[in-house]
Amino acid sequence: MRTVGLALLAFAAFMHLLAYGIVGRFAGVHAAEAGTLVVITGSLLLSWSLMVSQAMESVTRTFYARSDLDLILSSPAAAAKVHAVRIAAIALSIALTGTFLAAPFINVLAALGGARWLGLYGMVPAMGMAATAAGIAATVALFRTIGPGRTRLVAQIIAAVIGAAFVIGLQVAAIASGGPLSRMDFLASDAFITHAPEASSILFAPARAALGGLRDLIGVVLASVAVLGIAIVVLAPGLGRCVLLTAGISHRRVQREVQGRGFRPRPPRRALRRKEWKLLLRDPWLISQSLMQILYLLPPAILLWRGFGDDTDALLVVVPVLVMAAGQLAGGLAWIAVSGEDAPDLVGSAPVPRAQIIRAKREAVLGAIAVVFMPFLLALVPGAQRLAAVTALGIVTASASAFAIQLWFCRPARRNNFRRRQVSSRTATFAEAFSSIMWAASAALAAAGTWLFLATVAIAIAILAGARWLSPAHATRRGIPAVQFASP
Amino acid sequence: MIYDKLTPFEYLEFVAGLWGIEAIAAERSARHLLRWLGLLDQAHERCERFSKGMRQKVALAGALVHDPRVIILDEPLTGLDAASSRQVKNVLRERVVAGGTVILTTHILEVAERMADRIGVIAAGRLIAEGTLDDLRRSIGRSSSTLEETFLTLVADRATAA
Repeated sequence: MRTVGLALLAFAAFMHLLAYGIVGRFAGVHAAEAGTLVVITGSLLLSWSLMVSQAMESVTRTFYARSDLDLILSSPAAAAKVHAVRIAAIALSIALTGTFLAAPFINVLAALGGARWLGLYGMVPAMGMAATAAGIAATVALFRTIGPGRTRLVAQIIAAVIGAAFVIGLQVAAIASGGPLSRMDFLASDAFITHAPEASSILFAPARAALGGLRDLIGVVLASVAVLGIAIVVLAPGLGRCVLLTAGISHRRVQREVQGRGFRPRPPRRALRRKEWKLLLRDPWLISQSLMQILYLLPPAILLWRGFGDDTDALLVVVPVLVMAAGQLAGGLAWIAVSGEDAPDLVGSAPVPRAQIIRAKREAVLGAIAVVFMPFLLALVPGAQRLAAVTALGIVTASASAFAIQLWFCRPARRNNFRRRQVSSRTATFAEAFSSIMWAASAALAAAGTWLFLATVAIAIAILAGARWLSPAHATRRGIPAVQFASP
Repeated sequence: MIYDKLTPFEYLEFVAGLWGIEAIAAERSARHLLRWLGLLDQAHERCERFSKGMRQKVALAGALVHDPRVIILDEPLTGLDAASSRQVKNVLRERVVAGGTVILTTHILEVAERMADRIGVIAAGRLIAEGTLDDLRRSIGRSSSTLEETFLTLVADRATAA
């Protein structure tokens, strides 16, 4: 217990230190300063968009997870009341999560800039409530327009897009404007502020509330409570019908004729690879999660487009972004292929050498990475062949490293737990992240033409060696049983 | 142990590929198994839409498509309706007639009594008796008891001895 307490304290201290580095210099701002309200509103909108994304995911899970459906609908409690409680629970979860994450930032701002910043402890839950109402309304609207069959995939994709859209949109606008690349600098730029509303506008009420405006804070909180209340009253009664309709989807039989396509001869490795690709392409949830990572490639794509034919030095920014993105995407895909294997006993008991199974899974992951990143590499080739080569090498090494880490820390899990993969092994998560960062830094330094890249390569290799040593796979060589492909 | 996002056809094609079975022979075997198990009409529907019984039948087809000499099944009839249960039993009988060996575990003693050539009784994780039904009856001194009575007697005797 004491160790856990100390670890939590250390984590809290680290988060406050991080918050100090990010927002400490803004603690003294006041509403009277030009651009302050715009920047704060932009930051709040960013957070709110993430909350809406979270709300849509939560509601989608409520619709389509049927584990407690029979129990709930057969209970004496009215279904509408049950669903009202569910909506409130989602709002509470989002509000608490947001408050927990925002707490270090609020504390730092309050410590440096005065107690007026404590109003954010009211703002964040209010944003959570409004986000829940918006998320549920959007999902129910989808349900009623495109039907239960398509809603799940579309809602998951929209949730992923909403979560990233505001961040990416700001970044794209900053890049396209030709000015500084920082999103916050873009918001505070004269070009943006001249088009912003007056400081007394109701649109800036949340920002004024964040800066200590009590009247605005009360207004925002009351409005959020009202919006959530309206959402509950209007939507809760119909939620039960939505849930029942989704329950009917799984049992619907689609009668199809037996198709003429016969078995195609495939060696084991090819059969395994094809199976991995097919499972990934047919899983909307995994696609939406992977899509979220791919969306963050949009700013470097715009930068590439902007820099095409121009000074290639600007394209140096693209190199580490692509390598980092490849490492992160490869880590997710590797987890799906290795730990998320749905039939480990089937694969493990087949007369195929383990090395061949691993090779097939690696090829499947690297193949998917190649498909995603090839357009970027091809865009670099005409004007910057050296950059293209360095980026390609960086992508391959980052992806291969991520796969290796996932293989060493293989722990059988269900694919539905993809979102929780990062907490299943924190060592693997950190190793994967730091490995990608180091390979990205190596690629950037190599692209810049400096020999310093050898140092970051050495660090990347050291991270891999450390991860290997700490991994359960290595533990077997020390006489400790490790998890193999077969389920325990 | 099947893939929700694959159809039975694709699943069996994958298993055949894993086991290196020649494509034409594997397809013939797959279609025969799916027809025998009553799944031919659903051969191109994804398994995620299947009931538990259907999924079990797909898994069984996957275990049989590569024509193994020995099959070990854990409770293969649990959760199946009567018709599906009959189909599975017929497939397993056919496999034995063709020269294969089927080892299965079951709590449904009537199934074991009617299907099995040899029966093993497990209690508290230990094999306490093994043989034909007549051998087991002789071991408890009764020549006409049902398997259920024989099983309960053996387990009770074991508990007493312990």
